[in-house]
Amino acid sequence: MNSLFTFVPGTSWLHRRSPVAKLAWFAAAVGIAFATYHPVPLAVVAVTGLALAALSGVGRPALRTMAVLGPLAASIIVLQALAPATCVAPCLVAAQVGPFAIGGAGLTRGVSLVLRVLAMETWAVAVLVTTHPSDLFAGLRRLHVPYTAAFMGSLTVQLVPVLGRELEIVLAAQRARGMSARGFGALIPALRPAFVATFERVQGMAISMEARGFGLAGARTSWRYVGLDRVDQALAILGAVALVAGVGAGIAWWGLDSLPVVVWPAAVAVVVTAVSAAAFGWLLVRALVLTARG
Amino acid sequence: MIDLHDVTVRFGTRGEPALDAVSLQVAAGEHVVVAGPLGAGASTLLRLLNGVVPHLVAATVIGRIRVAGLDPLTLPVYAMAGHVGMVLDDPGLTATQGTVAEEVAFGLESLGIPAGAMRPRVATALHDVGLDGLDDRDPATLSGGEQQRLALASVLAMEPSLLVLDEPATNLDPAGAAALLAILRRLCVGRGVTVIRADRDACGATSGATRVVRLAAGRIAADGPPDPDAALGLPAPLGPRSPTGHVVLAVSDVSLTYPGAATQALDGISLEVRAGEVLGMTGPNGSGKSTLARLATGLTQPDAGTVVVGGLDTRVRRPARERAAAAGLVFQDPRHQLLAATVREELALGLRALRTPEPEISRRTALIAERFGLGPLLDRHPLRLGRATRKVVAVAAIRAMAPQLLVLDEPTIGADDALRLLIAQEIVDAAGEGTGVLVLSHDVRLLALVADRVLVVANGRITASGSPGVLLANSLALAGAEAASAPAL
Repeated sequence: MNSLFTFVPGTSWLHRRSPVAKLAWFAAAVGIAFATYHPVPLAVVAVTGLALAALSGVGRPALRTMAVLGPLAASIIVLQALAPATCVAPCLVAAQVGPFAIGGAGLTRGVSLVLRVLAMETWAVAVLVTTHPSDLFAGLRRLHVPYTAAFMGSLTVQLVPVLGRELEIVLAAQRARGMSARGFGALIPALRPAFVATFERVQGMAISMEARGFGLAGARTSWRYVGLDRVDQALAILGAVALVAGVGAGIAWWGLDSLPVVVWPAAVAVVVTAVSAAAFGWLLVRALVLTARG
Repeated sequence: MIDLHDVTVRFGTRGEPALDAVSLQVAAGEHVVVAGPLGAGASTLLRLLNGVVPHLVAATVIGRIRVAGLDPLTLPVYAMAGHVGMVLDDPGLTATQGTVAEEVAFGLESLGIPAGAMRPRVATALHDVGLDGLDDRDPATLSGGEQQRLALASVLAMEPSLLVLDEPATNLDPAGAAALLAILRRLCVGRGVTVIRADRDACGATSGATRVVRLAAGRIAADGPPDPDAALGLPAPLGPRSPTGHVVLAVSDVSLTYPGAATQALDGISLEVRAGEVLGMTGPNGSGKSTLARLATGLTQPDAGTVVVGGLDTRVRRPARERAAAAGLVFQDPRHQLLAATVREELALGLRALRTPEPEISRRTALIAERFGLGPLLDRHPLRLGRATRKVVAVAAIRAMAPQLLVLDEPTIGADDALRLLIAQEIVDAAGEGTGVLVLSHDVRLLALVADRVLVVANGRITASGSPGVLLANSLALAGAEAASAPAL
């Protein structure tokens, strides 16, 4: 099983695009996600990213990542709806369930935050899963990102599947020792050896890199060359325009911190909050039970 | 080329020094083997030569060091890269790039070699180590031996004047080790490259070296030409056995192809292991040995064929503890299976999963700790131990569980003679107690010590089987002949 954000080889239109163009559009998605709290543009960005991933044959990794983010999303909505950090006037209560008051503004903010995460996640998957890490590094270099920063970025992306593989082996080792090795209960003891293995790998990599001249003064040369044809050039320019326009629109029309006033029907507010609370609660209980079982 | 004068190295503030007043001179073109048991200081000595110690691994160093006329104690490690090429003893940790070719090109990029000049150097280095055609593979997907070859290629491509290699053959099969010696011989004789390498087993002419420096407790105990009479032969088996027990592992016509792989990892493999029998399996790096280890313990399922352990088909879902009681696996990399906070807990972990009563856990843990010499380490964290000691803990933890089938994947990587003998004795003892043992290893001396039968596997198929004496002696002889007949550049 592939880890999240692992490169999946393919020949789709997106696979064949230059990483420079893809990075430009990814930057646009992230820029818009941070420029506004308005759920509509955030939803548009998230759906576009998901559609792009699906059309490129990597919809499954995008959905898997969304599933992994599910508990985080549920907790955000529950906490924002029931215990918002601030309550800006008119501070409407969308519904009252016993002692729990579901705040309309808090619910909107929770949904917006989840959409913000999804907007970035779907585009990150679409870009990273269709781009070989080496091409990503070469693309960043082509964009004149400093060598060390580009290398570290590329290395971080490569370490995600490494950590996934290490975890998979440790879980297999747990099963070989007679442990159930399923769920969160297994994950907790598995994390330590997986992280130690990854940490030792990073240490070994650092020695290996420096022993092969990483850090030497003078112009480095490059083995890998990333092409940029006319389609890619046009896409890269359009991506840059989308970034500027999206951020500008976000700030000018919707405001960096402005939240639209959404009047939630009481039933909808209750259902959204209850489903999120149930998902979050089920996860917590399951984690506690599995941890107690060891 | 190398001039060490009265060098003492100390890690931390207490304890004995790792190197104690060592003086050593090595001329250009020499091929020096640094031999000695675990902890003798060989790795520390090598890591001094490009400044990894003390710049990247903190240590106090006293004395004078010159390498290619430079002082590695004052220069940063990267400044030595044009002169000193280093391969560490755990190549699985060192790959930094997304493909094999890029890994080899990394050092050339650092040195500013133009792209046009890089390509032939990368191709030559990959050809020299036998990795032709793997240019676009992800290094993380290579076998342990292939990763070792890759680490070597990535240094060879840089054409350093001094090669520093820490146990470069520890993950290699005999043919790979022979090819390595051939390459080193060509570099020394043909190009005047100086080679210094740690090799715990080396002592005689078969080491390919012009000189052997033997370390003991951080000091040079001997320094001279290799002993021509000390050529390594196969050791005698540890006691005769005639296993006639019931079948504990039956693998029938098993095939497996990993997703996305072009070739089969295993192709129609069949074998049996009986209670009380030690079956050895050897073969080139990447031939499918580790895959078979996972299949034999039910951690991986075949595409075709059946695997029956302890009378039960591994395709049938059973509780993990039942599977663990039937078959125990010692992984190639012990880091992955050390899960507890102390060695004591590590030894007890599997027994608890098997629901063994606490008094029995205490008794068996104490017994195993004594047999493996782990008594002084019982309260240490397993992951803070050295690589070879971790392996001992991993073997001990599985032995404590007393499974019907014991599977060991490369149990002697990084081990010295004493450790190899300890593990070999444990394998033989396990078989004596009626356990079926499957040892997957390219350590022919271990297999000669313990195996009742040996299978040779290549490209996922069994290509030979027979008594260990004949098969392994042929393997060693062939490897030695290849090394000796390699032409100079």
